[in-house]
Amino acid sequence: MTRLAELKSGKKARIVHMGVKGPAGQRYREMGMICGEKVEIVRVAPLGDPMEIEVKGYNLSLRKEEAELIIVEVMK
Amino acid sequence: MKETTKVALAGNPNVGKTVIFNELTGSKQHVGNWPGVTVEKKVGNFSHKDEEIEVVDLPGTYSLSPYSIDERIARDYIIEEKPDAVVNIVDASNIERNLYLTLQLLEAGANVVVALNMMDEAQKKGMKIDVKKLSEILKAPVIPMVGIKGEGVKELKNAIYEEVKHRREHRHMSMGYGRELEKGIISLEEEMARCPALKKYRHRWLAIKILEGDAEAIKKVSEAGCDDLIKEAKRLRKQFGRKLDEDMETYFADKRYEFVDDILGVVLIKGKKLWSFSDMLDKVLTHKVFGIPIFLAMMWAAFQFTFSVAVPFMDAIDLFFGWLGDIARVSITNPAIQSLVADGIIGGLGSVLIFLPNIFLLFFVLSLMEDSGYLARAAFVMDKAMYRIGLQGKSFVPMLLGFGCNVPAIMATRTIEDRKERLITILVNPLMSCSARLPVYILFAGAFFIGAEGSVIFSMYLMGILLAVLMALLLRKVFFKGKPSPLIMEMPPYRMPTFKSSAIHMWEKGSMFLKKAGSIIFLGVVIIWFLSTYPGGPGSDIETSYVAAIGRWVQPIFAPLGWDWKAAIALVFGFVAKEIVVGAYGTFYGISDADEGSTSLRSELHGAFTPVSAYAYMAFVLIYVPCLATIGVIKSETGSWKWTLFAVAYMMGLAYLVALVITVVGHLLGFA
Amino acid sequence: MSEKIRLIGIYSAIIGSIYILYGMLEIIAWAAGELRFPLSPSPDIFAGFILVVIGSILLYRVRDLLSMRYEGLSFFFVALILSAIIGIMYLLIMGADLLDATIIGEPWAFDSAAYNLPAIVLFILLLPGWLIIRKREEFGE
Ligand SMILES: Nc1nc2c(ncn2[C@@H]2O[C@H](COP(=O)(O)OP(=O)(O)OP(=O)(O)O)[C@@H](O)[C@H]2O)c(=O)[nH]1
Ligand SMILES: [Mg+2]
Repeated sequence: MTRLAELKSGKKARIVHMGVKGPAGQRYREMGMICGEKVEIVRVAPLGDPMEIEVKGYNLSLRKEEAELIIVEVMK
Repeated sequence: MKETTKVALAGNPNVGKTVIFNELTGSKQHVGNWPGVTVEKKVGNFSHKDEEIEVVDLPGTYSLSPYSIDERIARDYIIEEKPDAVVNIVDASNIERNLYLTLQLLEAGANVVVALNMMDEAQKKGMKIDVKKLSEILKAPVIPMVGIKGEGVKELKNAIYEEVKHRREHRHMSMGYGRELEKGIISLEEEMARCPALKKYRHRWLAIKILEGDAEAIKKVSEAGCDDLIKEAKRLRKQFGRKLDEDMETYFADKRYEFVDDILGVVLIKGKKLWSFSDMLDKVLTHKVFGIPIFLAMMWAAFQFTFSVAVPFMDAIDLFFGWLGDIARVSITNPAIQSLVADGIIGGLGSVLIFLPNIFLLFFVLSLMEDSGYLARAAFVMDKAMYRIGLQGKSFVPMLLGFGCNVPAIMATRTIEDRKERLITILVNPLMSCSARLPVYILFAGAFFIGAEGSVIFSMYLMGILLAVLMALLLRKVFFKGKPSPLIMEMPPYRMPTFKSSAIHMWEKGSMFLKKAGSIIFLGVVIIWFLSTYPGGPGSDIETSYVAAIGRWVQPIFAPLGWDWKAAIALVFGFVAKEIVVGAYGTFYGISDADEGSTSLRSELHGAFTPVSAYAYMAFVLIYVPCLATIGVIKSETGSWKWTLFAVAYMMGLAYLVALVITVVGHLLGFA
Repeated sequence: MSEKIRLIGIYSAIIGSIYILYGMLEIIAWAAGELRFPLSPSPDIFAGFILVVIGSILLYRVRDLLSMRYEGLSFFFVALILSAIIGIMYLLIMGADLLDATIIGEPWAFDSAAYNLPAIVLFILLLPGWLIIRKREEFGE
């Protein structure tokens, strides 16, 4: 199992576990970050922190700190 | 009398609510591409056939569980005010996530009309949506639209009309959450029937909300005095949580998205994923090497544009008021009235209007960046840097706006969900040197630092930024312990900004400034004129005026900094608005058309300041309270006098401290 | 089609080099104070920096374009847009100064230090590139 934060841009993965808790976790779910969902890493910001992913057909940015808590399985 | 028919426009951020609001009501309003741009409730009207309908443009919401202030506004309106119909604007090109809110609206019992906007973009993506089938499943009218081209507006008006006229009660779409949970929901609904205070809300919705553990819904129920209900919900939550092996929130969200999937499986044919122009631009604009240089280039260009292109307009305004003042002096003979009109009123108006060109142009470029989608990238690129000082990418935009005017900048902090981050951003925002402070810098730099004006002025901006960073860190350490909240930001696709929408934005912000200016600055200038002319009357020595008396009274405080009473009194009036400081100096020295470029004013200043005390004075002007209007928005945005007074106090203290340090260091280094 | 991409590559390479050259000259002129170069690059460190940025973006993926790969086009497009923003900005400033001169009744003269001629000329030289943007659907896949 990999953490979302570890993925390089261009990689595709499936969410296995959402470890973000509280209101933020709720918000991620409402934005479509739910178990079983496919995501693709689009890019990482120039300073290396927020990362942009594609989920549910739109682009979302989130910090590595939260991406660390999201467990994914890399897809081929 | 019949109550007015109310309709609310609701939808995710950035789906075209404001565009459609403008199309429906014909009223002008800002249209932007920065998610969450509409922070206020905007109301308009339109009449269709025999109905007069009031439309409210709500801020964007991703769901009915409020996460930010914007969302709370929208949710409260829908749930508490219960409009006659809710037009749910859905971005067709992003239908999957957008329908999540639609389901929640239906669940809450709103009379939903779905406006399927951005059909053009959906088509470009190769998506095909079966509108009729979607309408059948949702049991609500669905109107395909292209908001920016006005397509579908007539149909939407018809649908709204039908909805408010011939509403069919209880035709809600049923979305099941599984047999077990449904039993729980029904038992809660039955319990709720015994709580008359909750009659207002759709029971099923409320039951689901308290099962989800929604804090606001629970509060509502306990305020209604139905604590049994909460206990029961808690028990059910525990029971199901154990059975399902995941928490309720997750379960409900999963179920809703499952439902969206089911719907889309029937109504949507997905297109092939194309490599879009937006993707191409993003690849470079957020590139790891070029991202930041491009960002700096954009900021620099925006600044150059704002300040250079404004010059002829400012000169024209200046000439016009000079001319007007001359006419007044010639045609009015009574010296008291002549002085009041020429120096007080016309001078006051002139010093207000002189800033319009700058403000207009600044908001024009900001709106171009916003509408094009670049501002979201700026937040993305800058997030890590802002995170370091305890803020986040979204704080960057209000900071940037602060260089134009702190008033809209502080209002723009509403997009920041986290209260701590928002407060810090508000509190340090006045340190961003707004355009009203520039004339003071230009005047003093032009008088004391000839040949180095640019660098000296630039150092003021840098000092402001530096102090803002330090203050942000300090506030985090002392008052707002903890880390910034997680970043969850949608990146909208790039869109071609339209001249019309930028012009509307520019006009709105410009007239907002004018309103602020019209009242406060104008009044300030007239008061200064009065205080500096009387009790002696026009032509008397300024040293005998009221102003001089006040100035001498506060001057001792500033004596260690080497400032005379004129400097002191200009600061007192600068409290009203920084724009007045230069004008005040003009009045003190009896120079009628004084502006920052006036040579006679500059030479007068040489008698009152040394380069060191002038530099300290500039720094003080940078840091101490921006203006009354800013204090006003700090109060209205923080909702607390405590923080407002804190802001005023810390800025005064910091200004004095920095000016003192500059004076001491300047003298130690041997400057005069 | 792909031949066209190679042409864009050559075009990018030429204009990009001029951008970098002039950007550098402006920075040097700024650092050296009085020093002036032919074709009047303004002594302005910020403007010089931006010209270098645009030039680097143009050159960054020239290899892709020359070997007829589409990926490089993104950089070409962004350089076009930046070049237009900077070029139009200087033209507007020039227009504003002209207007100002008329308003206050002073003669106006082209001031190479304020209007950054290279940025304007390069913007015009890049204008044909916009024809490619307009037909970008061709590259859409
Ligand atoms: N292509 C296309 N663009 C549209 C359409 N409708 C709106 N837009 C663009 O979408 C962007 C957002 O529009 P707004 O009306 O500001 O969206 P909003 O929902 O009010 O956004 P917030 O107030 O920020 O939540 C603008 O740049 C519009 O020009 C449409 O039908 N097609
Ligand atoms: Mg809006």
